[in-house]
Amino acid sequence: MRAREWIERPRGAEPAFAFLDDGAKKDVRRALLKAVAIPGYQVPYGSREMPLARGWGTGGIQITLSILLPSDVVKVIDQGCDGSVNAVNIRKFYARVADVETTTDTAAATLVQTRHRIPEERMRDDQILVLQVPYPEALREVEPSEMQTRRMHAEADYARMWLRLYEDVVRFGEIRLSYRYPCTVNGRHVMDPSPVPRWDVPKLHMADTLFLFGAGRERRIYAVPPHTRVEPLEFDDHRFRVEDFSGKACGRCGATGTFLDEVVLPDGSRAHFCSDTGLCDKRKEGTWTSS
Amino acid sequence: MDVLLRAHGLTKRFGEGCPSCLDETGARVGTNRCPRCGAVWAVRDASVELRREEAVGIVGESGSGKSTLVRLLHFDLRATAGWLEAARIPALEPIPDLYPKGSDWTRDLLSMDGFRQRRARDLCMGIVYQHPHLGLRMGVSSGGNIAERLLSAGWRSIGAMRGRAGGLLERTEIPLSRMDEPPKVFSGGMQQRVQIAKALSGDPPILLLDEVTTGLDLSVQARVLDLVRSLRDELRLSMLVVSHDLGVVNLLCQRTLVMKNGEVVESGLTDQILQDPQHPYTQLLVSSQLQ
Amino acid sequence: MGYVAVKGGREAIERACDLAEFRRSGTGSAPLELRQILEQLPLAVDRAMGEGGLHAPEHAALALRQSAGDSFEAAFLLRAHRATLPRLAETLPDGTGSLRVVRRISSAFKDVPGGQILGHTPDYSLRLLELDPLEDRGRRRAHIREKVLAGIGGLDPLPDEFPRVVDHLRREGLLEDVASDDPEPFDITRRPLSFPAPRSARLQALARGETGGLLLLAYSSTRGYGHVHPTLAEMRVGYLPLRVVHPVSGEPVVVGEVPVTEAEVVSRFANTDGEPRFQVGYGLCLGHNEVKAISMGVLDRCMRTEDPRSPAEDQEFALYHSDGIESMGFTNHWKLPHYVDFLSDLDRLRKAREGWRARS
Repeated sequence: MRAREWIERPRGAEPAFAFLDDGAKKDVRRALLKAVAIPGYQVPYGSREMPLARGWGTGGIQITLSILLPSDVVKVIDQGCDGSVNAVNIRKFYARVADVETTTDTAAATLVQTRHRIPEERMRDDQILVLQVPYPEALREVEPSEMQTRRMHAEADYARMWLRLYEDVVRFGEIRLSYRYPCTVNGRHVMDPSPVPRWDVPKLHMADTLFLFGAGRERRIYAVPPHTRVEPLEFDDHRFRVEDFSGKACGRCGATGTFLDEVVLPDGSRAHFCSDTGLCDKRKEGTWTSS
Repeated sequence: MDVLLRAHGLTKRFGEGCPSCLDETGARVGTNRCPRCGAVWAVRDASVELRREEAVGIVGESGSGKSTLVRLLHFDLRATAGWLEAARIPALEPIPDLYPKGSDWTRDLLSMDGFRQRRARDLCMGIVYQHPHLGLRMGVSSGGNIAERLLSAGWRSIGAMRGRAGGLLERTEIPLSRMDEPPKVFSGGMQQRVQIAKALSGDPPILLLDEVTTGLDLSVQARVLDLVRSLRDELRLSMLVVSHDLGVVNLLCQRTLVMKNGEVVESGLTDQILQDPQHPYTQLLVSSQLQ
Repeated sequence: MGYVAVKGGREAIERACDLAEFRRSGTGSAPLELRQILEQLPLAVDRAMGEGGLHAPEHAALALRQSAGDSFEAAFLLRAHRATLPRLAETLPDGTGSLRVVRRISSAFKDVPGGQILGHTPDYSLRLLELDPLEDRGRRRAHIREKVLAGIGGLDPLPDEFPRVVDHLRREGLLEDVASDDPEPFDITRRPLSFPAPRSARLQALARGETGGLLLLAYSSTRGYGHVHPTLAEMRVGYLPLRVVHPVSGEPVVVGEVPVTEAEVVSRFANTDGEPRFQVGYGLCLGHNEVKAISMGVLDRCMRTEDPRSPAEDQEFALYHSDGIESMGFTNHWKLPHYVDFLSDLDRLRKAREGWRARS
């Protein structure tokens, strides 16, 4: 906004819808367009400071605030749970600055913002998933310098990342990368899918949904458009594997084939419960039907 | 015999340079360094041709520019002037638009963008340095060092890569049991042999050897040189062999260039140069070494 | 031209000290009471105590007031004061099992025995500056006190025990072994560090380290300049009872408690000797300072890397440069006169320039 506009603005005017001023939203939207045009490529943008601390979702928040419409229905989860403090806090913030409807039901949401999980229910083409990203750079694992990693992406020079995987197999018999598993997007850029567990990586491949990734502290935005190939780095003779929950079920709703949290009980034994609490609730209430 | 690589007018200057440089530096004057402006002319106006299955030696004292010349050909350093072209080598076919229409020679590789330069280099050249830490990742397993090249080329089977790496290590006389150990625990001679294995992993038609036996014990030197010679014959490699030791060049190379203060002062068949040197410096060099 | 000597140095210095005190005396605001600082800026007090290495809350409040809010100066004042104090006794070694917990979380599991006790933290508040200057602070304060304390009698008490998360992992054999030879701890206040430093020395140095410096190193190590992928297994904030041997009866007695923050950081497995296991990094500091305790835990683990390559993994780099009193003192010392030193440099430069001109 120009100085003159600012001086002449009407007193008592409403604050901007969804907290961010037009300039900030424009920055983010431009970055989003470029990100969608080059799947998996990290677009630098002028990330603003938010009322939540850096590292707590400022990137995801800026994306959501920039694309939010009054008609949106928003779900916010952290580690799969709507009730986690981080999710509760952010949802409170959105209700306050945008007065949008909120929900814990993935199927009812138009926009889902998440930290470190992708909802278990397959998302539709009329929904958007916004992911909070701490480290946007998949190659940081092998190269600390940003100058170098940008060059590596430009030249599709990913040998050192592959070499890390090879060395892990040779030394430990297993690839040690767990969350943040690197994937090739659209056959070109290697992308960090954010710290979602391996379990969630297959959900990104040829999905109906638009996935938007925001890293506020690191000042990068990237995206996976619908129907895009997202392929975890794997060898022909050492394939990508998801976490193993065989023999375990949710202690609350009985579900299997879903990501389970492990909880330590006072007697030292362990119990398992659905990480996706919204879905667990639906199963328990009997309102969930698989589609 | 057809020419594989031809370079003309190769020059590398460190520093600004001034009008006096030409008269105040060079083989005739006896220095690389311009007394007026302090610029160092590491290589000036050097030309070299490398034919199929031919080994060319480059000899001179330290400061002669022989290592710098090879670094320029390997794109480790950016040339100040000169051009470099490669002939129609099958290995280079994958690079698009490398050969102008109808030409049997590539475009000037020195003025090409870094990305294509590096690709061209990785496809047709292997290099072995005097100091193993320049050519190897010391903290990565020996097999991994070789695998990195293969991974760059798109290999995706650990078994196949280990097979190839194992074969190369065996061929360079390194016990298979040590494939998963990092070179930093190897002796100097073994480290050099790992470098050789790595340099050959992509089946390059050209091998660059930069003082590879300097600093090794005599018996170890002999072993490495023997290996290089047998590889040259078996794989029908073209080689550029840099050394201050005329004995090495005599053993391996049909032709030789003699360098002094950055300039090529004499070139011809190795036998002729050693038996009937023309340039006064060459005469000095020969008489001081071969007793 | 006559030589003009610089005189009146002492007067100038005294005047400068007066001006400094004048500056922090304000122009009409009520003088800060120590109690206000203690009660309303407790985190600044805790930080000063932790970096000064002295548990003395009132002295810390005094130091903050005297230093006009400069956290380096405040820690320095405390450290300097500490050096004047006699050492009357040494506390008996103890685990932190006796910690009186007021806040306790684990990021490693959704729920843990003893529970996730959020306690007092601004972590989940919105960082919006509360701009209304006309707000009645007294009323606000009364309101929050009433809100928090209402119905407090009906709440469940905290559990008696908080079983350690790392103990659970250890029982499953997932953690590295820790030597239990219990060596005599190194005393960094009496002996200079030499490297490689024993773990007790490293932890002591980190415990007194400047928060920002430790944060920088720990942050860098998680951003690629290091190979630690940390998970905060457990963090506790509370009051640690201290025991000494009674000088007369010879029995151990509790002489008081000190506020501490403790963090246990578990890092992804990286060992190639034997069965794969996690490693633990430990952090413990005086006062309520979570950023520091977590950074300590990360750095403790970093400094045990077998193949150190980044600054955070280099013991010498990390420990030599993270003491705030030393680093601040030295950086400030550039303000002292160095004109003799500089003259010597000038002389060298002039000679070299003569030579250069002569040659060209």
